[in-house]
Amino acid sequence: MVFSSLVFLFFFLPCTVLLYYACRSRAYRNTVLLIASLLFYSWGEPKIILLLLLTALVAYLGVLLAEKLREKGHPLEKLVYICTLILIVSSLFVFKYLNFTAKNIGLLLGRNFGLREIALPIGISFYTFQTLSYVIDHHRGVIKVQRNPFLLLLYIALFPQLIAGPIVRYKTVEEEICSRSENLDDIWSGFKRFIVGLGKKVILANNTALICDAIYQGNISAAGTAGLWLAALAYTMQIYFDFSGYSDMAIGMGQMFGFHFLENFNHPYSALSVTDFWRRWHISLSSWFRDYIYIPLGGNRVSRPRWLFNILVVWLLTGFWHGAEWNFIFWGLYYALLLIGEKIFWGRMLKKLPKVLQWLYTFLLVMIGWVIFYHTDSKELLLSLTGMFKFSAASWGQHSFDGNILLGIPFLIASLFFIFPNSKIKQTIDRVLPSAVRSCALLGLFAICIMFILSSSYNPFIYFRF
Amino acid sequence: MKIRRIMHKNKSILLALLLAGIFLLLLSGTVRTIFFPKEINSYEVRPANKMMELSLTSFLSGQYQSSFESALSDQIPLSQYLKKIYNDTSSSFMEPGINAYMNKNPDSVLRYNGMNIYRDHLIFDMHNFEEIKADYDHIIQGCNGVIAANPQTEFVFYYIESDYCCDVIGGAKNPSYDYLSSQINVDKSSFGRFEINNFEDFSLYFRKTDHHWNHIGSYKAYTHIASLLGIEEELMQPAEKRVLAGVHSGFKAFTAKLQSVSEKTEVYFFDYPEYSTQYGNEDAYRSGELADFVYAEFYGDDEPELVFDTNNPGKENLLVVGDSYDNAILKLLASHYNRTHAIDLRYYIDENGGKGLDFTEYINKHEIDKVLFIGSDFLYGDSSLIIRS
Repeated sequence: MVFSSLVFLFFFLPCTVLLYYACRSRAYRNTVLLIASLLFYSWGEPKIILLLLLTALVAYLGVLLAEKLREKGHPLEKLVYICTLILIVSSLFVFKYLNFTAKNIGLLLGRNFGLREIALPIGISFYTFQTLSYVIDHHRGVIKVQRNPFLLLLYIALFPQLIAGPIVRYKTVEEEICSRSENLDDIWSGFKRFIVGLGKKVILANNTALICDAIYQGNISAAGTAGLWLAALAYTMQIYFDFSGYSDMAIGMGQMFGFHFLENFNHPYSALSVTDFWRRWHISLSSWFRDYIYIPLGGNRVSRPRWLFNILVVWLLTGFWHGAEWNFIFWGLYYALLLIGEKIFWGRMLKKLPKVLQWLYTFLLVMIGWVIFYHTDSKELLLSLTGMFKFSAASWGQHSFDGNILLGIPFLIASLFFIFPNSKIKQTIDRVLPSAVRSCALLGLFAICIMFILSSSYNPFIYFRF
Repeated sequence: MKIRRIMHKNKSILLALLLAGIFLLLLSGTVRTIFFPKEINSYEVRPANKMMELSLTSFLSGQYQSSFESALSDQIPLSQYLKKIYNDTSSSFMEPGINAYMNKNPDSVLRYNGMNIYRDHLIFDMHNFEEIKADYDHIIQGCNGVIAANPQTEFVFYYIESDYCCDVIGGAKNPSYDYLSSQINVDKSSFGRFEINNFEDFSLYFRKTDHHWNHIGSYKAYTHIASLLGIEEELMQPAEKRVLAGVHSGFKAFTAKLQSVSEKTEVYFFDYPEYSTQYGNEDAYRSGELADFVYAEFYGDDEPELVFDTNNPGKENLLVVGDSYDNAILKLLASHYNRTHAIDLRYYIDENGGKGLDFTEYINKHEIDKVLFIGSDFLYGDSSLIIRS
């Protein structure tokens, strides 16, 4: 089930909200949320939900045992943490990386291990990292052990952020799990944010996707240099509005149930350097890697060679986290080199440039990064990148041209407006338009989103009387 | 202060009511889907999707979830209206852009929503024969069984080539006809096909926005089939040729969400003999009462069974097994026979409780002398059709 599906909008969300608020006590409300979250996950993964439950159980028992050992001052406490972490990470490895690893070792050794293709469970990267953060934060003494297994499961499986983040640290919601307070303003504010996120996803992201899919999945050579830059720009918009839209929906829904998650995006395409970009993009992931990998490795408080090594490790892992393909690793390395370059070589010079040039530098590099991110096929990646920099005219006239590119253009233009904070425009709107009018406009946007979702299910009967 | 408190308190109540109203309204979509589902999706002109029964197997396989989603898409109140608004708006927006592109690149193909647009024609992708070969085998098996069980009856097979089995721009064809004619147990002289060898053929014989043939194509097929059936008497000639006043936006435009794209329609009018059955509305078009061309409106709708009786016992009886393509030529063929029975197996099956047509019983009961199978891959590649002997 995804947030932009009809089942979610017309069945799951209203049922969950109405049942939740029909309950008075915290215990009942948490029960409703837990059951809803498990139903949400099992809807898309009816069998693999067992893996989620097992992961939560391993974390629960591991931390509980470690707590007991800590109370007794037992030396095996650290070993329990390590074993728990290994068990949790191993499930991610098996389901996400085993095939890739076996394939590449096989290529090196000239062997085929004949492994069956393992389907990737939805959201495994997100809930695994959440679970890891619980274990590690407990080891660090940042959080208290959660003795109620159902509350821990609620944290891990909470449906707003289960399948696409943000990666919520346990300490962010530790208090709210047991003693949050819901109010109408939060519910309304959360619902409005949900609608905005839905709009970003189904209107902007899905329609800019038409352009990059038409070009990248068609004849790439026929697109020419301009067409390939257009595809890169479209994908840059698509991925942002898709991901940030989903985060908005998650944060909005969390707010509807009294949770206050941290922001995951902060207008990343208005960044003035790659370093700045990564402070604004997928904040929950980059901060996770910073706190649990980079800083434990020593961060930047080590010798220069070690510091460079730390950056490379973090970014290799960041790339690899996104997918088990070589292009994701190259993407991570790409950013590692850029960040190192900014820190050591040209960062200071960059800051002296006019802001528009800083922005242009950042935006172009990010676009190129997304091209690497998109293409899992190395030949297509090479074709796209060389086509972008070695001029060639489009030859759609000699091949077939996908008309969806025309349909996507207005949405691409609109999306360019929404990547910037536009805080002055927002303030003016808030000042000029009464809140009732703004609310009506938002509900109108909701109806439009539903219309866009419905349009994708259009399927006329072929034999009818025409 | 008291007034402000009262207003603030009312605001909370209003907000609560608004939120409850929104969620109850959303939930009403589910209530309608589960408890009061409608039968027909009138906009997409097909049976409306409904939820399947919940079972452990259906949930574990994901089928229940898919059926729930597709059922909601049809059953939510106003869903068809919203789809129509989206399609009409996107179509109106796209049409100038498509026209501009095609004017600038007349020899280019533009793809949109799974449809190819080439020189004002909407063209399907040629599909892969291997994907429907098993469906062909099902039909072939049924036909061979009927042929074997009815040695006294003459069987004729007519295959209609279209953009579904041919790349009308590039010229390639899939091997549907060759496979059909090699597998069915009748003489090669009992096989005929409506050939399309290039785009010129296609544009001459087929409609621009619809998968059906136009008046030239259907008349050509009539003359060709008459020869196959051994009809020796003079063929019917058009009494009048006319461009209808209205426009036509066909199935392909509908599928590609380009409903604003339409075409003018030229038709032939014939002076048919008296038949026992009233079929089609050519008279209404001829008198000007109807103007906007609709294939089924003009020629006649898809019916499970039709019988045209000319009360000429000296002539043979014909059974035509086809789909909507033969709607355009049934009355032409019927003019040469005593009785012409036309069966559309897609609907005949439904009306007879899923049993399908027992050909031997039908042939014997109605004293059928000749059986004509006519269709494209839509017919010969439809494994849902049951052919019993």
